[in-house]
Amino acid sequence: MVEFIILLIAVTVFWFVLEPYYTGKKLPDRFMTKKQVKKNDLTARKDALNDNLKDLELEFQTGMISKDDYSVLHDDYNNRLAHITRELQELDGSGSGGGSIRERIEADVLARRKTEKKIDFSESFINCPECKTEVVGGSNFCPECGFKLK
Amino acid sequence: MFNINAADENESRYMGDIGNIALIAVFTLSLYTIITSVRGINTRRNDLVISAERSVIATFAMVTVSFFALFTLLARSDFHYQYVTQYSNRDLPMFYKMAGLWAGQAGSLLLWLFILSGITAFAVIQYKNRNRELMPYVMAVFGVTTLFFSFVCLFLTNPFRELVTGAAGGIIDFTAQDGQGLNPLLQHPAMVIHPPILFAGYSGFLVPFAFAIAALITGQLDASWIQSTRRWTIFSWLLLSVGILLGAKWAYVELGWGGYWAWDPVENASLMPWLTGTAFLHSVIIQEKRGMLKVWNMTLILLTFILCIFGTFITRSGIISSVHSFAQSSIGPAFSAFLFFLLVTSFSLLFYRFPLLKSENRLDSLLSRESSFLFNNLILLGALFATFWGTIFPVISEWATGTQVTVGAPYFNKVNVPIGLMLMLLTGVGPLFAWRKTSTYSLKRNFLIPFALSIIAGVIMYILGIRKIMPLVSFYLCFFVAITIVQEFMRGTRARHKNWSEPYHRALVNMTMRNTRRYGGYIIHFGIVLLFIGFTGNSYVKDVSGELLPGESLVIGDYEVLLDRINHGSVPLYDYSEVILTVKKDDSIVSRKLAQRRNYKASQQPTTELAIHSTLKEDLYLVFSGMAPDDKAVMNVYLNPLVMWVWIGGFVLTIGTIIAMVPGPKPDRRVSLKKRSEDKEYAEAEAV
Repeated sequence: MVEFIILLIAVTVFWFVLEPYYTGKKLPDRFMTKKQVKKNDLTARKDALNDNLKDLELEFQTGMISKDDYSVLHDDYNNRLAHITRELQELDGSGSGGGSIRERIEADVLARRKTEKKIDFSESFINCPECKTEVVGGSNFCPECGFKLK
Repeated sequence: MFNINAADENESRYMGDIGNIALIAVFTLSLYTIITSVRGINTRRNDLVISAERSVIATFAMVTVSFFALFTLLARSDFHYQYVTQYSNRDLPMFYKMAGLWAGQAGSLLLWLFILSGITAFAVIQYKNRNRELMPYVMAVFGVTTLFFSFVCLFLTNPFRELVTGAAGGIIDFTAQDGQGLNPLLQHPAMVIHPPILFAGYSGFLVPFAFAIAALITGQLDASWIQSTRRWTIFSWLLLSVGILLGAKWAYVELGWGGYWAWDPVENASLMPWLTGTAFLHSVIIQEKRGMLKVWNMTLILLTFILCIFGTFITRSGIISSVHSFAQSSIGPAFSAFLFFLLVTSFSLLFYRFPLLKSENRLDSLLSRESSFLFNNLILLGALFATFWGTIFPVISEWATGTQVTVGAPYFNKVNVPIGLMLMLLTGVGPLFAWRKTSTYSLKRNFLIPFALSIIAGVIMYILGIRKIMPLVSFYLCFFVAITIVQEFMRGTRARHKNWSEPYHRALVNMTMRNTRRYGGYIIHFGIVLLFIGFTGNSYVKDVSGELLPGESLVIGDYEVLLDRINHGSVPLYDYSEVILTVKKDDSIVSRKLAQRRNYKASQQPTTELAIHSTLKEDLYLVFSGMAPDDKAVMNVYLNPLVMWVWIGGFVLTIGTIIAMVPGPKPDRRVSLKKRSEDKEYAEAEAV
């Protein structure tokens, strides 16, 4: 009985490990092209930058960083993001016309901002009518006094 | 039920054979994994790589068979096997028979292999499609590690060795009547779960290590390997943290010397990878945010796994004698060779890839998050060096002079306490600095309240009688860090409450769950604060000893410990003497306690089962050390302040780490719908 169990386990293991050599089915691809590898890398970096932007927004909203620090970092992250987005589009062959419309528009906006000598963020801020605190443009409420801005 | 009879005996022998055959299969499959992965890389053939993947999974299946074979032998009390005879006996409860699986060297290495192969199989299933280009290399590293451990289990310290004796006709095998029993010190619930959790922590670090090696070999040193292994690193760090704390808890409640951390070489062995792992978790954020410290991060993760192997080597080789080195063995040279191999290959690869690991940015200012993380890293590495040096110094001294010079707790405390305080300071100030540089405005805004409040708290503590400099600094820093954390939560909640019109409690939960890594990290820091509060209590430990007759008492602090009765008795596992104690505070009874002195029959080993009256303020730690010649009970009583906060801190740290591992929220459905409709509008506009 025990010998039979050992034999059964051995046969199962052999079959399980060696089956990919003899199967007639098409096996899933286990290697990537250089382009796919590059795309993976860029996507990972893009995700990390988006996380950074999210963190930055939170830090500014909670008053951890000043407007100046926010502007410099926002500028830096956006530039890097624009660069990566452009590279990703070039990889997809959409650098000059391909890709989704939204991506192209975003890329154009980012590319234009990138070419500017210095990005002026002054327009990104408004003064709260109630307490005069500088607030990120587009906020619904003032983070300092809670005044409804929209 | 589990005592074998003649009919079962043959089946039991088969169990040993099955265990051994499964180990041979593990060794062969590991070798096959390495060869097939490497051939797969060279030929870029899918069938080879898929076969290697299956081989990793089959390796786990075979280790499982071997592991359960050993468990069956222990459960059946089959004393035909050396391991079962050494670490079990007939009267041992089933719960502790299971603990016998990792009580000895052979069993614990099999457990290491079991967990290791489980983790590698899981990682292969998880990553086979996502990180296709790296996976063949990762599997080869997995294969090398399981090959080494299966080699050790099979040839050097095999748990399925039979008992043999010399006889006229040569060597014959035999079956013992009963076993020597499990070491009584290990008969504790914390000891049943401490080794598996610690080993899982050690093994878990293999995943980021293998990915790092794969990234070094392929030259794909981008962000993807770090992103892929981020959760594994945090998870392994959590298991290591919990494993260390469970070991401390066991030492506290079982060893009876009054404390939970003695800077024992084995404790240090588990602390060292924790230090480098903690440094890595911090500095890798800088790489993700700023593309800096790439060489440093690579060094840290390589070092962390190598230190995990070093920890096992110290624990199990018996190279440095300690309470944990229950078994002296012959595995030392094999582990030394493996460590040497890991060090040389991984750091040669790192050196080879040095040009590709250039930093993308430079440090802009000393007052920045990057600098604080860098200082934090240097301090953690300082602690590592001090601990490493103190741990291996006895070996070096013995090698150089022939006499082993023991390095005791005073050395470690003297060096590591200031380092720990510096670390606590950075835990508070680091998260308040901004990336790149911190402006005066931010400094004022972020530091003013915590600084002012902690100064007031420091003055109050001084007035209340905390006059020793180190504890005062420690409590001050704990308070400072706690305020900075509370301030962060309050600001975030308030901002969310105002921007999203959410009630405060919901704003707090949503803010935390939408930024799990950040706020989980803050909760972990709060856990560390609580741990430090507990550690600082060590500065105020009191103790008193005495020989008591029933009716007599000892006084310590506000407590009076009255000896009511002394009993003697016997149970199947051990003989015992016990004292019944009444604990009084301000003349009123607060607790009745029982402490024992046991003498285990199988191992003839005495142990102390102490009693603890625990409160948030302090632990009254009652040790019955035995009987004096004139029938008096010898009592040692300790008053350990704030110990409870160590365990609470560990719990908070666990919760924080679990939160930090929760993935961030998926994009808001409303936003997605809005984006989709915008896309449609753009498309329509373009069509026009």
